Amino acid sequence: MNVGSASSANGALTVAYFDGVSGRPRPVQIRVDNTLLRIDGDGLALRVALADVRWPERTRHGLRVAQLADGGMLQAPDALAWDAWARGSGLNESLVVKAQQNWRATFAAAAVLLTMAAASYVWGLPWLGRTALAVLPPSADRALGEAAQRSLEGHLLRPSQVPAQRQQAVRAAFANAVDRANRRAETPAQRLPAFELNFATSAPRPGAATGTPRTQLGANAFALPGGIVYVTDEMLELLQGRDDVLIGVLGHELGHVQRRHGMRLLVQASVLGVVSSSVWGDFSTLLAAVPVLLGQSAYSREFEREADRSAIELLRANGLSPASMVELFDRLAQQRQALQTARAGSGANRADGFGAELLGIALANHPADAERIQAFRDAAR
Amino acid sequence: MDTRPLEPAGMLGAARPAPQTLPVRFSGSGSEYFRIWIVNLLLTLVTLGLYFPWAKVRRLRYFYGNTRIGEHPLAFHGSPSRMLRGFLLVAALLILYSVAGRFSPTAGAIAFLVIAAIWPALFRAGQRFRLANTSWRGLRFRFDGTTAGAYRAMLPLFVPGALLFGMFAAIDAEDGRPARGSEAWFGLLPIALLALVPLFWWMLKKYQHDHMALGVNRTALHTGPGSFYLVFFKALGVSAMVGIAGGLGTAVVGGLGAGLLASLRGPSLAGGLGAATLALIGAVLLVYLAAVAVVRPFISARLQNLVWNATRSADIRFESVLRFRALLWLTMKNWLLIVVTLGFYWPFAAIAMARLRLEAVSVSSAVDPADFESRGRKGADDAAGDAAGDLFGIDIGL
Repeated sequence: MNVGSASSANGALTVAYFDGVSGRPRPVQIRVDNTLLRIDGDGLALRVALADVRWPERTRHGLRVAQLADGGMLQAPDALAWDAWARGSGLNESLVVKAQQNWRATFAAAAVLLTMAAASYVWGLPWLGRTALAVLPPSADRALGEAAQRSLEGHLLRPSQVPAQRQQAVRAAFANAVDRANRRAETPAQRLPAFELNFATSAPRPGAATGTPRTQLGANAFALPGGIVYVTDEMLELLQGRDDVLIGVLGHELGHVQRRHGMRLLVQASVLGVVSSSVWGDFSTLLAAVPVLLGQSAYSREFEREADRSAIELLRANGLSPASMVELFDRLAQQRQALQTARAGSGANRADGFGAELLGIALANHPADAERIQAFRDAAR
Repeated sequence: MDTRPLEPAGMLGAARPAPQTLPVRFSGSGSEYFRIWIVNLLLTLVTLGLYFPWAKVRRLRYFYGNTRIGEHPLAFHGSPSRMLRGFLLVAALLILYSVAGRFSPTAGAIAFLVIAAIWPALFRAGQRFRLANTSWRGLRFRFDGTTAGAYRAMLPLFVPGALLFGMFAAIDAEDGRPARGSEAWFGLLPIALLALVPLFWWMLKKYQHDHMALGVNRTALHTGPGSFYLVFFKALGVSAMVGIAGGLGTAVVGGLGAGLLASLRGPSLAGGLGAATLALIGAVLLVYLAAVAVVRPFISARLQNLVWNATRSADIRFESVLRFRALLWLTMKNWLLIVVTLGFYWPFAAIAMARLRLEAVSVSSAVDPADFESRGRKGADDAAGDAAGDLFGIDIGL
């Protein structure tokens, strides 16, 4: 049964016709006549507008099947004969098909694709993040921050041991500093947002060995979207006697809030996730998550630099030197050193620090300390 | 595996020709699909995703057109503009769902409930759309499962889900601490869920394969849940074997590695132990990945054979002889090459996978397929379900 064997002669091609009701193929002759496709066979004379036919795409493999609007179809097992007939009959193929069949066009498309990917990563995604921020109301940040706060307080954070008096003093000093800076602000965008300063300590690390931090977060400060700022007891302890540095640290965190970095990261991660899963997602969700993870670290480095600039502005507005922030890095380095010495002394858990360093290189989400210290020194000049 | 000789379905019809066996052949090529893929990808990104339905139709027409049953290919008839509507609808749903969960657990839970409630209807719509837009020899396929049937088929998915949901709601009410005695429940629940998985597979496949039709032929799945449980238990056995083999390998390699690391970083017992911990974490991850990489091909090979060998209609039978080892090697090779080429091997992998899985199947018909007749065409063009299959990552497939 080889009804479909095609032969091209004087503009006609023999193909198999299926009427959509019976599974039996019928040999027919097809011919293009102006805007009509004429299908003629044994007891069959169909006239179909060319625009009503879904033409097959030219491919190297497979046969050619044209779909007719009434449910019928034409099938040509000899693809080459069909292609010759289509060309001879003046049927144009779409640009997309031409591109698909051309290796040079394909490579050009791949090159454009890679350039676009790079460009949208560098400019497009941050732009999208900022645009989304313009649309998303600040209440969205607050809702997000409060949700994050609830989950943190339930798991990671513990009540602060710092006396209420000291907490009140820090709060007042920071509020004063922010007020002074905001009075000098020239545009609303430069104003630091309202904040809620919280004190906490983090959950102890179970079975922490000598020479490792006692708690999960150690000396730390962080901000949640919407203005919820946390500082740990260990950070207050570390910066004892240097309230000016503490102001800088809190200013850095408020800078994240001011520029809505949390929300931006969320938007950008979602977009990156959608794009990456639409390219590779049908293969593996694990694979699709990798670009999202790696892609975020470059942005968060940029965010840290921006937050550092907020800290510098705040310190300057209060007549404090941005260089005082160097003290933070010095004390953190001293603390690390002390922990290392303790570890060497007890001989415990070497690999723990080793692993942390490895992770620090792989997921560099803070710019190198040296670079940040230099930025603070430069700002002090 | 079902390897019984084929019998003609109607022994009375003496005039009928001998049964024909139609092999399934796939003629797609990786390099050609690579070009289609890259052009599709470019257009999809340039149009911010709006081109997706056109890209999808192009992809399906390529895959279907290169799948030949006997000497005739399948054809896909879906209209991209109609699919775009479904795509946008489901995309909006998906965005709402993923955003809701980030703001508050309650909003997330409500979104989850909404999606869960409409999911079976979407699934059925997707089946109808896909089959109604697929043809062979000019005859459209049909899917005539009912919406109520879809909800019944997904019932095993709802019961534990509802149970889990109720429990979490109860916890939230009591300031974050589970009620006394509920810990045991938490331990039992995953086991109960796991035990329901084969039943769910079976009910879903039964729903799908009981309602596929071409002309007067309507298929039915002639197997019970027992055979699905058998595949499931064998899969558990395979993963246990991978786990044991992986564990032994880890012990040897990890021990050597830790010793080496410790000697590099100074002779200290504690240092060695630390390095061993680090190595162990890496090894556990690797073993887990290996188990997934082995068990998934195992399950999909065995399920494909089980389901298609048990699917029959009055005149048509299927036979599937997909070998686990072949699928395993191909999966590993695909994974490796995709990672090495940073994703560019993906279209080649998709073609190789389609070839292996499709060419394992053959169809036999007791009557001449040329005598098949359609029973009139009905419009079943709800593309939202098809889009749901894409975006929620459920392979509806044939």
